[in-house]
Amino acid sequence: MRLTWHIFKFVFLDNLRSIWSLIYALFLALSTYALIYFTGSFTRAIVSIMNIIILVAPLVSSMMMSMYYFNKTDFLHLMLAQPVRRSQVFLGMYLGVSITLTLSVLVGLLLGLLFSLQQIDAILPLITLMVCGGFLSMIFSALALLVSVASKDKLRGIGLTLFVWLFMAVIYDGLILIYFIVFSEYPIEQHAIVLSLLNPIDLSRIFIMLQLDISALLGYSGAVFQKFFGAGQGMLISAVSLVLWVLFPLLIMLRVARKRDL
Amino acid sequence: MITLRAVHKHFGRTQVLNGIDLEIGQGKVVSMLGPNGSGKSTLMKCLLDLVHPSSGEISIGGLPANNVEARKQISYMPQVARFAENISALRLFDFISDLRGEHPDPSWLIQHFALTEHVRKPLGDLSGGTRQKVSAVLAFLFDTPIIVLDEPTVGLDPVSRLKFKDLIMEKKAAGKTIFFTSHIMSDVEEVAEELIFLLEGRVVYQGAPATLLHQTGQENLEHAIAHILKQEEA
Repeated sequence: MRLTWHIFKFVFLDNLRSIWSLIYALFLALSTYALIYFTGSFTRAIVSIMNIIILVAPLVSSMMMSMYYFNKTDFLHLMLAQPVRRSQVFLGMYLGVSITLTLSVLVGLLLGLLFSLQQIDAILPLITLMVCGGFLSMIFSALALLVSVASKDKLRGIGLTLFVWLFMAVIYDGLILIYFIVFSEYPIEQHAIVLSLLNPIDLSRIFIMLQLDISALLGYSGAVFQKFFGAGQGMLISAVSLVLWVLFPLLIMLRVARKRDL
Repeated sequence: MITLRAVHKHFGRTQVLNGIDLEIGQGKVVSMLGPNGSGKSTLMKCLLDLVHPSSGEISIGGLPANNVEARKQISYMPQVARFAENISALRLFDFISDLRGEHPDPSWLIQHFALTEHVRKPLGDLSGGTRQKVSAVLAFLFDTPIIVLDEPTVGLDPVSRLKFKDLIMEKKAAGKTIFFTSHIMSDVEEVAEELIFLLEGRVVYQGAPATLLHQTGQENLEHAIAHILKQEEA
């Protein structure tokens, strides 16, 4: 654990001082401020910020993690040439990059909100938004590192990472829609729940929507979620699922990294 | 000290190491030579457990290469020194010292390589040669019985190259084993006591440079290597 901490600290500081962490945080701060200022309605602004967060946080996290892994091969070799286990190096590296990204999301949102204090009606949806932004950063960093470690070269690794994001953010919803249309005459409400648990972006959307309590914007899966579990239980289930979404790719990544030729 | 027994490695259908048997004794300066694609990098990565052999055994000081403790005996200098961009060299030395659990004072090496004015700057702001010197400090900082160097003098200016070779001789006198790859034959001729020549994943020569010159009837290493390559092609 001590060695993982040293690696985390080093990678975290390296990333924190990177200009990209600052640009990312400023972009989110500016978008948040602009949306709250121009939209007029607080709830509508939150929904718009949510749409940015659930698309941008996974994309940026995926790309930053993948680029870090492929651009720092020499550094990775140097660390692995020391008396440390691979799992310690990869876990430290994952935590260092993903926590910097999470921090950028949190600082970006907080800054944007600080400049718009007068327009803010409720604090809980904002906290939920930050929690989801953090989770999505951790989840997509883990997925990106898994895909990158398992890929043979940089081009394929970054391409596949991008595809994972595209699949979760766009293609998955399309496939679910087709599934619902084809089986519309069957009782598939429970399927809707399972299918949304299988996509962290959908899960985050439902998590935030349940908090905002806008049934019109919940969508089919969200409405079923609310009907089956009620807002409280639904939120608990989606929160647990988000934690599992961080842990599973991370554990698989550590397993792949142990066997991989580097 | 370093022993390889029947080491094979293939990546898919490509056979990279083809039954390597080697023994590298303590206190020797050994240079590994070979054309591009001969398996030098893969072999070096196998020693550091970055690449797992498909079959065969590698032991470092009596321990299997995949044992974490084996790497306590090795200092390593990679070919390209692109590490963290936004962190200073001093912080990097501290970091690697933390990982190894020992904190030797790097100041004499910093002075040796004239790095004093650079060690507080972010590594990303340093030139390629200066970063190579930072990497050299790491290679000689710890008191390990084995030092593995991958193309160590590439990018170094003539003065730093001389200083680097001085350090190799100093470490040799202290009984350390130094294993390095290089394409700069003058460096090899100057410091290596033993040569290992790899070709298509096989060891085609292991012995003293003088013996190789005698066997091939050539005047210098460059010609001797070219002679072996021509023979293999024929």
